[in-house]
Amino acid sequence: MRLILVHPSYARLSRFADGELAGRRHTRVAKHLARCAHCRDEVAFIRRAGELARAIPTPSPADEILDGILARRRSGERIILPTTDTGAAVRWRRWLPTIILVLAALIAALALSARVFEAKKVGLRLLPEHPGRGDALSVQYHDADLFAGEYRLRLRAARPVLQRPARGAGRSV
Amino acid sequence: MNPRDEALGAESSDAALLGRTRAGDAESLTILYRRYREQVYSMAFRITASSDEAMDVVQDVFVGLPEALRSYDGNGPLGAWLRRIATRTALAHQRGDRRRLRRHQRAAEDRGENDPALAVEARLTLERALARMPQELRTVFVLKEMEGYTHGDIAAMLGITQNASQVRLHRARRFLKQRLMDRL
Repeated sequence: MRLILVHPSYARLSRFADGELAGRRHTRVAKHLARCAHCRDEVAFIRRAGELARAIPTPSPADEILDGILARRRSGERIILPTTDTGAAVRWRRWLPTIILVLAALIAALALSARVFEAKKVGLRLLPEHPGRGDALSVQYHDADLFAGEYRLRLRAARPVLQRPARGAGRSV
Repeated sequence: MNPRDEALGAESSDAALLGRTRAGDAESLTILYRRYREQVYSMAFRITASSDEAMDVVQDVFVGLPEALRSYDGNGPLGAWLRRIATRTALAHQRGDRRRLRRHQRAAEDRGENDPALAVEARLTLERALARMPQELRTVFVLKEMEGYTHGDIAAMLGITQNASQVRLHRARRFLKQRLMDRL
């Protein structure tokens, strides 16, 4: 008696029974079946179950169904039947929550990095930097908000705001 | 079938009937029903494992047929197209019915008692096991083993991958094997 250590997987036997194996894989399983009664039984069962399933008779629909169909049509009822495979759509729907989650995470990361980047730019800028009396003064600032635009504010100084410090002297306002 | 239907049915090709049915002609719909009801019912019955649900599916398919025919391009036999629609409609019914498992079991058991055509013990045993099988496994088993669809077709119809279809078929067979063992 020969000892068989490795049997083909059930999936492989199943595919063999369906005639879906070809080439070396088919040959290998066929050889195995020639000497393994256990696997032969598995394949025989798969085939027998298929034959019996195909032989299950289905009762005929009753004739009264037609009256119901015509009555429903006459009453104006209309049904939209699934005329196309929704396979791809179903697959998409299954992944949709994950896709939304990933997109949300990406947007959040982008917003955060932009905010950090923008935050570095927050600040005031005076134009001209050293206005004199009566000069028009522009105050320019950047907002840290990702979607905020740039705001400009025009002010007129009533008196000198900044004086150019004298060389060697301290800065005064 | 009344004599007028018979005359109409005998001389009408599917193509001629389709045009009239699309336009809402009840007589043409009646002829199509008589021509294809067995195929539609058989598919619905196998998917749902319930005669009541299969009847509902047949009704829905033929009530919606005149409008649905607008998307039938004539490529391939009408029967095959109708069977696919019956499959999808039956699956839609299944998704909407949470109490289906009990009904399936009862349906199979009732048929076993009353239907002399199912006198063969092995076939009845198999049918009962099929009725108890989880719906997602049974659908793949029915479509592959009983209706002859490829895994590619099944994947497209159910919205799963071909690999998932293969795995479900293997699981369905194992399910049967565990329950039937030496009884087939």
